[in-house]
Amino acid sequence: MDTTQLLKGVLDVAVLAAIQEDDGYGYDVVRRLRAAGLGEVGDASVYGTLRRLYSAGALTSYVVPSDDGPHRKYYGINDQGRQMLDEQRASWTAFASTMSGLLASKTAAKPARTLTPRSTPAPVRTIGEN
Amino acid sequence: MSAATLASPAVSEFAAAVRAALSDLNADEVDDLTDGLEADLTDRLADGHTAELGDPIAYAEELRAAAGLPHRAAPRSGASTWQSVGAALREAPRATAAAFRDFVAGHPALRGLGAFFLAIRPLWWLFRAVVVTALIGNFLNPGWQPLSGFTIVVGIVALVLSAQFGRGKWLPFAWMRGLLLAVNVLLVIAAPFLLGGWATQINNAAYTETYANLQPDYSADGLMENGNPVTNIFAYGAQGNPLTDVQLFDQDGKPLDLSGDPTAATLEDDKPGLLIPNQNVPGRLGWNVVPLGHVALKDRNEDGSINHTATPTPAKLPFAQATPLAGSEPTPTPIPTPTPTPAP
Repeated sequence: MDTTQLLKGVLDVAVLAAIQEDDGYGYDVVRRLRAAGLGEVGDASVYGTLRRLYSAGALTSYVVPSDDGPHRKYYGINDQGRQMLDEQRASWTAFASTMSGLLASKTAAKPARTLTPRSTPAPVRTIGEN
Repeated sequence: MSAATLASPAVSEFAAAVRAALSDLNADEVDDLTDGLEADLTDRLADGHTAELGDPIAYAEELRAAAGLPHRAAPRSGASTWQSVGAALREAPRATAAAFRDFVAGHPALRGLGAFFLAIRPLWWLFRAVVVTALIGNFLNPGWQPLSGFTIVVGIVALVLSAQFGRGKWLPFAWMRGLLLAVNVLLVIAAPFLLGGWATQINNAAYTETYANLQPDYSADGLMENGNPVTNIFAYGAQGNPLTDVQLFDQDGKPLDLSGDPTAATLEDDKPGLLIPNQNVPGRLGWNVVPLGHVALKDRNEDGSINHTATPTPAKLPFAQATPLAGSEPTPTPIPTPTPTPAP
């Protein structure tokens, strides 16, 4: 299965999780996601997601000038972002356990049409909607 | 552009191509999407995972999609013909620009050219500031001085604004960008004329500076012949004898004025003297009575002015006698016809 397709649906929550402890600039977040095992995450997808979450009010942003290179744009999570992260974490957990149960069962009676993969009303637009 | 100038050329070029590929979005969105892009790209290269930055257009698409922004505007179906035509007309400039930028982004040589123009943008900002300053100076004060304090202040303000606008700063409203674009277009159109005008002005200034002291002032008093001052006139009669106290008038009956350069007199001993007008003309100075007489320099008044009442000495004649006119020769002494000697 193409994990990049799976990744698209969860990139929001992945990015939120990556900066829930420490603020980070674009490539910083990419590094953290890759270090966590998401090796196929695309740089531009992460940056776009950061911008979108920021536009949605889930992140704060500030620019840090650099003496020896171009300035960096840092992102930090705010209360709205933490709330979003909690909601999406819960829905992911539910979804993941449903999927795990489904895939573990060799005779799945009901196919995936009963599943609601992203039932949480996302406060921000996600990639799949476009 | 500080970010771009600090980044490596490859990064600047790639970032410029990405921005170009996003150019159908409004400038704020592009800024928002690509702020810090150079730093991220620099880090990515420094990480060593990849030596190539890849395709900027695909990168821009990914960025745009992840940010939840629409793909490049595609023609809508289902609209009426007129709506389509209207939309096409509205979209044409933008689509053309976008196609052009895509084309540029797809060709490394053109990308290099784009990066070059990006690098020399500050020159344009400077030029723009200079032109605006000149226009303001001319408008407020025709005959303005380029190096006056006022012009320098206006120039500095214009330069700061021009650079900030060029960097996309201090433009909080979208219409300001439109206005800036319009001003830019006008400046580009006006530039050849302005530059031509300046070149003329500079030429004129240089000409005036160079020749002002060489060329006589034609408005000065005095008489001119082919641009050279005529300081005195010597009249000779038909028989070639010098005349004195000849009154000269022009075609309007106005007395000729030889007062141009009173210091041009040459004395008998070739020392400089002062020409003075004839004192015998009732009611005015006889600057039209030639030849003008002269006095020695020592006859000057204490305040430096010419003492017109000093007793003049007749001017030194250029030659004692002129060639007589034909038919007016002085009666020659009859040459005695030699009496033929009778032949022996």
